[in-house]
Amino acid sequence: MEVPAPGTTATTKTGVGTKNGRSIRWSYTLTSWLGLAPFLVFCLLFELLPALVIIQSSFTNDQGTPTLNNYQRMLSQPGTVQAFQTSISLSLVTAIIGAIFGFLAAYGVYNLRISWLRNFLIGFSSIAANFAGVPLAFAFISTLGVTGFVTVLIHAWFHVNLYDLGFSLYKFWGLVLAYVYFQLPLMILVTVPALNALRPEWREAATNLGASTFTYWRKVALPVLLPSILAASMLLFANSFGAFATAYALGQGNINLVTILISFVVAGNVSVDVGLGNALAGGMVVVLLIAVTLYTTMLRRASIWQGR
Amino acid sequence: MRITQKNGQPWRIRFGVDTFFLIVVVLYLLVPLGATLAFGLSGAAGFSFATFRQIFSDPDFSQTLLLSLALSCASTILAVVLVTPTVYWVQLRLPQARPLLDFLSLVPFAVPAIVMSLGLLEVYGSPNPLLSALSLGLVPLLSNPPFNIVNTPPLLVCAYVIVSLPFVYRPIDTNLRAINTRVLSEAAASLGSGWWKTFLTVILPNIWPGVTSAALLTFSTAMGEFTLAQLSGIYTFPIYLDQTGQNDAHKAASLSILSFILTLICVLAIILLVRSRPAGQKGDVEIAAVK
Amino acid sequence: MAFLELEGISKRFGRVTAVDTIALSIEQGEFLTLLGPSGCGKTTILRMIAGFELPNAGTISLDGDDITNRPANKRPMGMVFQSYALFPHMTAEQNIAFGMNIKRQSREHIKQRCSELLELVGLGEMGKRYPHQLSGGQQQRIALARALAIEPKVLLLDEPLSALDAKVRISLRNEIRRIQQQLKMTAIYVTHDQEEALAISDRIAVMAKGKIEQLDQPETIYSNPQTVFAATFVGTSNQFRAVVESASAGLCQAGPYTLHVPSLPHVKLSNTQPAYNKGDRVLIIVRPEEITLQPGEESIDSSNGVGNHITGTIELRTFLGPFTRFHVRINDGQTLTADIPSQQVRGYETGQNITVSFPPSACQVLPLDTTEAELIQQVEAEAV
Repeated sequence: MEVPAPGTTATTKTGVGTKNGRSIRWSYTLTSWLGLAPFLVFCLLFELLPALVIIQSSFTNDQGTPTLNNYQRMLSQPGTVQAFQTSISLSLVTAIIGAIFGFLAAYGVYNLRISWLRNFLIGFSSIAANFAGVPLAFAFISTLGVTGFVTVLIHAWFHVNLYDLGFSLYKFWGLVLAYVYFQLPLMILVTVPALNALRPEWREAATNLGASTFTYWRKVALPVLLPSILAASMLLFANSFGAFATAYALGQGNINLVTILISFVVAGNVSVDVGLGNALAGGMVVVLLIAVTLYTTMLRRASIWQGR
Repeated sequence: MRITQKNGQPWRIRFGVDTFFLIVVVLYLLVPLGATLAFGLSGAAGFSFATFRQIFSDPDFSQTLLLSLALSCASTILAVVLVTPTVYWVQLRLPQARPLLDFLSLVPFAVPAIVMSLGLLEVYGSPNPLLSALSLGLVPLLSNPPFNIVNTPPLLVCAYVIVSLPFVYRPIDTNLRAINTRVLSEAAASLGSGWWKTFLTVILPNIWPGVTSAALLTFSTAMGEFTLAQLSGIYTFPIYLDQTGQNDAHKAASLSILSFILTLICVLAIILLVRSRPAGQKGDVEIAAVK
Repeated sequence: MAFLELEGISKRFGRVTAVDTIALSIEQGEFLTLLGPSGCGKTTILRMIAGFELPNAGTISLDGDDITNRPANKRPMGMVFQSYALFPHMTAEQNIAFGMNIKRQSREHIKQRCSELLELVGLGEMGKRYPHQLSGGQQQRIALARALAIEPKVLLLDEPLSALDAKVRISLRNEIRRIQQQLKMTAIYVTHDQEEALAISDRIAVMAKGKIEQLDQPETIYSNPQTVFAATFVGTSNQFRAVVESASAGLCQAGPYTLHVPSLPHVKLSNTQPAYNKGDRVLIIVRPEEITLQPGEESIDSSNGVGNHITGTIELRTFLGPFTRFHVRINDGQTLTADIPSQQVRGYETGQNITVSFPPSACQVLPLDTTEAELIQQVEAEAV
C-alpha cells in the first residue's frame, strides 16, 4: 500500500528519469481521484445537480429562455416578500433565544460535577434536538393548543384564556415557542464541547493577574468563545430557516413562510408557479449560503485561537 | 451541591446563574412532553390507553412503520458504506480533497430538504439536455425505465443519505483525526497490510464511536423525515403520524410520545454502543441532528 | 520571620494525602526549587501558595501577612504555567498588559512597562504577535513578562520548561535565573528535572510522597544527601546495599565485597546524624565521577592508603561529549557506572577486564530501612 508523506502526492522512484517519474505521479493522482469517484458521483446526482438545476431554472421561464422575471416577481409580490421577512425574523428570533439560553444552560451542564447527570442531560438534549417535525408540532398542540394541557391549566388556575389574549400557537410567536424547543438542545449539544476549549489555566492565569470572575468572563472567556457562539447561532439560524415539517404540521399553510410556499410548488398547488418556486428556492439558498459561510469562518477562527 | 469554600470567594459557585438557566431549560423541554403524555392518555372517558390501543390495531401503523424502518436501514447502510471509506481515503491519499469534502458536507445546510425535493423533482422529472451532459448521462438513465427512480423509495433513500450527510461526515472525520490515522496506516503498511485490510481491521475498529454516531443519526433522521416523503408521495411513518394526527388530536399526542420513545431508543443505543467500546476512547461523540 | 512562611501545611484529595505537614521558610530574593517525581506534592504546594487550592491545615504568610484564606486574585503572586496559558485572542502586548489593566494603571505607564518587559525577556519586536504566531519558548517568555508586569512579591513557576525543546530549555532556564537575580525577585520553582534544579536554584527542597526529604543548597544535596531518596533521585549514583561490619573502622560488607567507608559515628550526634552499629543495614552511594578505572585485574597495592577496588568487565561504553560513561559488570552481577573525562580515556573497550576504584571518601553512607528500599526500587522503575 502506498502511503505518501504528508504534503506530497506521490513518491517517485529514484534513479528513474523525470518523464517516467512524472507519469508514475500522474497515475497515482489519477487513481487517488478515482477512489473518490463513487462518493462524488453520488453527491453530484443527488446534491449538486438538484441545487444547480434550481438555480438554472430560476433564471429561465416556461419557454426555456433566460430571464430575471421570476426574481422580479418574487421581489415585487407582497406575499413572497413577507414570507421571506417572516422566515428570516422567525429564524433570527429563535436563533438568538436559543443561543443565549442554550449557552447558559450549556455552561450549567459543563459545570456539573455529577457525571451521570451530565451524560443524562446531554443524551436528553440530543433526543430533544431530534424531536423536531410533526411529533413536536403535535406535542405543542397538546400543550399549548386551544384545548392543550397547559392552556387549560392556565385557564383553570389563573382564569386567563391565552387565546382570548391574542396568543395563538399557530401564529408567529407560537411557532417561536415550538422552534425554540429544538433550538435550545441543539445549542447545548454544540456548546458543551466548545466549552472544553476553555482551558482552566486561562482562568487561573487571569485570577492570578487579579481578575474577578466577571472580568475573566468579560475579557477572556466570552471573547475566546465568541466565534464558537456565533458559529452555533448561524447553525441555529440555518436550522430554523430550512425547517418545514414543524411549520407545516402546525401552520397547515396558515402561516406565510418560504418553505411552505415552496412546498406549494412541489405539491402542484397552482397558487405558486414553478418559476416563482425556483426563485424562492434560489433566494433561500442565498440566505443560507450567507449563514453557512459565516458559520465556517467563525469555526476556522475558533480553531486558530484554540490552537487545534 | 457542594458548598463554596470558606474563604467566601466565588471560585466555584455551586448553585449559580448557570444552574438556574439549566433548570429553566430542562423544565421547558420536559413540560410539553408531560403535557403530551397526559393529553394522549386522556380522551373522552378520562385516562386510558385507548388511543394507544387504537393506534396499534391500525394496519396502516405497522405498514408505514415497517416501510420507514426499511428505508432508514437502507439509508444508514448506504451512508456509512459510502462515506466512511471515502473519508479515510481522502485523509490518506488525497488530503487536498478535504476542502471539497467539507464543502459537500455543508451543502445540505444551504440546500435543505424542501429545496432539495424541488430540485429532485426537476432533475428527474423533466428532460434537460444540459443536465444529461453534466451528469455524464446518468440522469436520463435514472429517470427512465428500467432504472426509473422518480418518486420511488430508492430515490428517497438516496435523498436521506444526502440530508444526513453533515452528521455522517463530521463524527467520522473527527474520529479519524483523533486516532492518528496516518501513523496507524503506515504501521500496518510496514507490516504488509493492503488498503482494504488496513481499513477493515485497523481503522474501522478504532473509529467505532464515530461510525456508530453517524449510523444512528442517519437512522433517526430518516425515521423522522417528513418533507421529502410528503412531497414524493411515499407513505412513511411520519406521514401516517401527520395524517392520523390531523384528524384526532389525542391520537396525535400518543403518536408523538411513541415517536419520542423511538428517538430515545436510538440515542440510548448510541450512548451504550459507544461506551461499550474498549481501550481508551473518549466518549466525546456528536449526537445531534437538525431537522 | 522569613519572607514567605509555610507552617504545618497539609492537603488531602479524598483519601489521598498529597501534602503531609510541610514547613517551608523562604527568604526574600531566594530562588527555591521544589524537586521531586510526579505525585510528590510539589505542584500542590505551589498551587496552595498561589491560592488555587486551599490547605486542609496550616498557614501561609507572606511578609508578615496571613494569606492562607485570601482569594487567589488578591495575592501578590505572579504565576507562570507549564502550558504558557497565554490568552489566545490577545496579542503578546495585550497579554502582558492584562494585569495592569485590571489595576487600572495609566495607559502611558502600561505602554512603557510593556516595552520594558518585552526587552527584558528579549522579545522587543514581538509585541503585536498573537500566541499562535509564536514558538513555545517565545510564548513562555511572554508568559513570564505577563507575570512580572503586576510587580508580584513572589514569582511562582510550575514546570515552565517541560513543554519545550532541550536546547530551548537550557537557554530559557538561564534567562529565568538571570532575570530573577536582576530583579532580586523571590521565586518558587517546581520541576522534576534534577539537572534543572541543580543548575539554577539557591536552595532545593527534594520531595517524595508529600514530604520534604531534604532542604539544602544544591551542592550540599549532591555531596551530602541525608536520605536515601535524596541520594538516589538527585544525580546518578552507584548503590551498594551493605551491612555494617565495624562502624569505627568504616568497614561494610556489601555482598562479596568489603568496602572501606569513612568512619561512622556510634552515637547519635544530632537529629540529622544517625548512629551506626555492627549489623545495621546501610546504603552506600558512590557518584560515577569519583570512580577511576585501571586496566586488568592487577591488584593495586595499598600504598596510597586504603581504597576500594572491584574487578569487572566493561559492558557498555557511551561517549557523552565531555566525559565517557562506562557500565562495568562486576562479579556479583551488579553494574557500576563510571564517568571518566573523555580526554583521560585510554582505549578501554567493551568486554575488557577492568578494575573499578574509589576512595573511602567517595562513599556516602545512609541507613537503610525497608520503606526506603522500596523507594529506591520505585525510583529505579520509573527511570526505565
